[in-house]
Amino acid sequence: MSELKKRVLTGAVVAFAALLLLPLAYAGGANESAKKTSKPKVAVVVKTLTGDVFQLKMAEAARDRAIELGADATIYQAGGQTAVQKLVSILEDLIVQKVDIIVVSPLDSKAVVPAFAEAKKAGIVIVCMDQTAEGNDFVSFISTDNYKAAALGAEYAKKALNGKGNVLVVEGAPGSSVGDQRRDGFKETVVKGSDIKIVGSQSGFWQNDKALEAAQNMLQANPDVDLIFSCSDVMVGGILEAIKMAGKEGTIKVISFDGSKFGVNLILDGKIIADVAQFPVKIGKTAAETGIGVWNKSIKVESLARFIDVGTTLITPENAKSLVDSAF
Amino acid sequence: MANPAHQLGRFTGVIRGAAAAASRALGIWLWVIVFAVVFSLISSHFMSILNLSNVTRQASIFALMATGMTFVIISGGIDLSVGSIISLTSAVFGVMWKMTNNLALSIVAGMMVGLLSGTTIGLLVGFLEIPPFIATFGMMGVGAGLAFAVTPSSISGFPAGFEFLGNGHLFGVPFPVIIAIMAGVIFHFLLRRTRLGVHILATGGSESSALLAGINVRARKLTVYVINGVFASLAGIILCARIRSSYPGIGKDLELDVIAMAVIGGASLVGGSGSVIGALGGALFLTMIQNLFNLIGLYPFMQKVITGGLIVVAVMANQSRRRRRSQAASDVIRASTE
Amino acid sequence: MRRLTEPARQYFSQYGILVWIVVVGLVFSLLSRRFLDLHNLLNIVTQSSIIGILSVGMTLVIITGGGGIDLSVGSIVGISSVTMAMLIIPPSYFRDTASMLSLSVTTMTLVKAVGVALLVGTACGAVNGLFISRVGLPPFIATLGMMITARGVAAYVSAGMPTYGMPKPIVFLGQGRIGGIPLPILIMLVLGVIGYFVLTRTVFGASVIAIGGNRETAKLSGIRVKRILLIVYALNGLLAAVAGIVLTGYGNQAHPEAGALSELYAIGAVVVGGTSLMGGKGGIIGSLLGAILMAEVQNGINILNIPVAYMQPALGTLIVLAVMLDQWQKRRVVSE
Repeated sequence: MSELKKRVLTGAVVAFAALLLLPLAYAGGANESAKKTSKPKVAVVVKTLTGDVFQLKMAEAARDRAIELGADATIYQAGGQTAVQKLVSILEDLIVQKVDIIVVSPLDSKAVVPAFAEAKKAGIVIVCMDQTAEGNDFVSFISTDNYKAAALGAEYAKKALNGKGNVLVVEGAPGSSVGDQRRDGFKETVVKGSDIKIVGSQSGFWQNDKALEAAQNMLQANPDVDLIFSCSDVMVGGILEAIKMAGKEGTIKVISFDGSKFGVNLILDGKIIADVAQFPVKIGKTAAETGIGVWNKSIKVESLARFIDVGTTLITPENAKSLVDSAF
Repeated sequence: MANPAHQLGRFTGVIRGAAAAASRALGIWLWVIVFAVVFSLISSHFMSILNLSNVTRQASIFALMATGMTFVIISGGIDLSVGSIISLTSAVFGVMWKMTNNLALSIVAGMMVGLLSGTTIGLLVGFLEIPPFIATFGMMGVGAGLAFAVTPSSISGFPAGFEFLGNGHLFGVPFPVIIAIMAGVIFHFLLRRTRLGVHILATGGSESSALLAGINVRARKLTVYVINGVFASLAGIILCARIRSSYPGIGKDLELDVIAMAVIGGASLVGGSGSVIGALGGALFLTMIQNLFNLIGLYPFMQKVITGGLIVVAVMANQSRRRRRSQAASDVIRASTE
Repeated sequence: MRRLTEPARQYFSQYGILVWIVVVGLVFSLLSRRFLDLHNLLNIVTQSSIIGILSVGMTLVIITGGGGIDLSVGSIVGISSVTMAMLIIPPSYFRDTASMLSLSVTTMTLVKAVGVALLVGTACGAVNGLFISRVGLPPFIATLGMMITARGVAAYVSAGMPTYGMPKPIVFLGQGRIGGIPLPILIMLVLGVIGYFVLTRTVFGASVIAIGGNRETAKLSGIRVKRILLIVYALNGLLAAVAGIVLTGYGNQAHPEAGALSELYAIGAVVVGGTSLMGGKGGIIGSLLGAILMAEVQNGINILNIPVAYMQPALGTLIVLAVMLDQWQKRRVVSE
């Protein structure tokens, strides 16, 4: 390519890049004018929006509820299940932006403590959802107890197996405390007072394909499995495929976690026997309401509960039909 | 007397000449300045003292990593393991603290991670002639996995003073920025003005010529990976200070960002050229972009698309400048031999 | 005795990776009775086939030398996966359940969806190729940019959500068998054979190798370097899209994050298999073997229920050792 052509091309690409940035000018402007009309600015921060429908729905619910209540709300994502450093940077940038309320799923309970302290100093109201943080700089933590919820699933498993059998667990990604709680809640409860053995427990990385391979390989190692517990609906599809490919369809019971529409439909289709439901939509909504309520003083911080448990339900073939529409 | 078209041509010629000279001298920093101006028009928060402090602080950690990476790339290699080494450093640092409650000892333990990993990679690449991609790909897996084996969850309880390393200010300048600038200046000098630096450049430029010239290529390769490992661990410790805790997954996926920053800063992936000052600029460039996205709340899925495009544009712009220079050089050579 | 073992040793020195596959296999089968049965061995090769398909194209890319590499294949897997799904599932289904389990799909829709998905992959590859050959951008940067951008577009197109329940023909591609052999393995073998043939027996293949050997010489001898580079990267994009479709059928799910990190494993498979990152030499067969080795390690670790924290270190160390052994072998052969 001749020098001239290259320079023209570079110039064109630069101009194009500049054009790409233009819409940002409008986005920026919109955010700025909002401040003047004293609508509260709400930032919803989660670890990732892709490949994690739970986080996606929770974030969207928080944002939509905030907008309903008259606020300006935007969603931010750190971009990964362990992207702690990016999450902290987002919090710092939000302080610069002078948002009024931060509704956040902190990804790790300890790493956000310094950033939370700065935000509190700047007068920002912080509400934690799904994952808690250490310290006192946030006004409330809204979630469900993942450990207790998984224990619910374990109790059902014990009943379904009549207290005896071999169980496999497909875990979440390493480093996910939510995943660890679910795994521990299930594993520790299911062996208590029963003859159930956990013969395999491997990570599915919250990914369908990785869960498929893990389940496939674990089934290979343990031909005599009665039940598989999946720490999330995002992995249960792959697990079912693995069971199918091992020729064991119908002989292995499956219990999952999340309570998404996908999971509930699987119960209705008879493919899994139970799904522990969390309610990301409820969590998001409550978090937004709490944040805005504290901000406009309609909720008194002193009377606010530290931990708001939005509750879990065990979805089974008995109640699945009535719950499918409200599932996320 | 001169006709207006000619005058206009002279005028634009002067502007173009000045722009070309600025571009040549500043490289990626020209873009940093241009984008900073544009960004400040897009968001009134961008130029605030607090934000500038934040951005430079966030960038400084990457700047340290990019400095080390520049050395590796100049030598003709690459290092995919920096992210995992940061994770492992964080984990080891945290566990050491839990066990001994001795901050200094824990920091030393953390730095040892980078030193050991850099040495291992350097030996594999320099002495056993394993391709850098493979050696560092292997180390990446080792680091990431071991981090979680050492401690599956985060560790906190560090003293308040420790946080200063990551979040503190000295005369208004964030402390990590001071460290990054100091390291940048020292290593820029090291690269351009010491025999070590010249040898590394030569090794990357043409390994066979370097060997013929009597350069200890193996030792130089070992050196760059050790340097890179130490920088990675340093960045890891500072990151831990920023979040006042240790987190075993903290470095995941950071290596590609760092490599992009080094290349945007002028490092050529075929080896033989690169710039520490450029790497600092590259780090600031990519961090600025993310900062702007956060300040205006850009739709998350759009962010990746724009970032990918801007990386390509930034390298292209630097590319044509470098190519023009080497083209000019080869033109001169050709002319003088005719 | 030496004369008898000579051809075998020559073969093994060329394919040291095969030795490793056998050694690792032996170790695992000693540690677990469940490792060495036909079903598991088939599983291993099936699990390797996505990386295997990716490594066929990646071999060509890396052989072209000059830093030739493609970091975007993982993202192309993702974007082709969701493109196909989004073109099949009607918006109402997507809103309600993001599941196609009870949807009936016409052949025309399916053909169009798959066609567009393949086209998107090829286009991504072609864009890479253009930036690399015409603008002279380093392949690392060009494909890094594509990797990031394509991931973003994939997330946007699918609103970040996975889609479940693929149409039967797609599921067949991923889970079906012909003559007892899983289809992904067949697809990988067919593509591998075609790739091998192209690389070793066609003018195109010879040109690719020549370009990798010495770009200037290749240009002087009349090879149209720019056009060939463009074709190589475009082909790589096409193969990545094929892998994406097979993967979607295998897991019965289309996902914007599909294929994440697979580019590194594909490159690893190629280099472990003997192709030099400097360019100019290498082989498809080695790359496929490299993919199989990696799947083997992962499989063994799952079967032995080793904690996942040790899987990555094991894989990483093994890859380095495999390359070390291979190089030691090569040096021995040369010195004999």
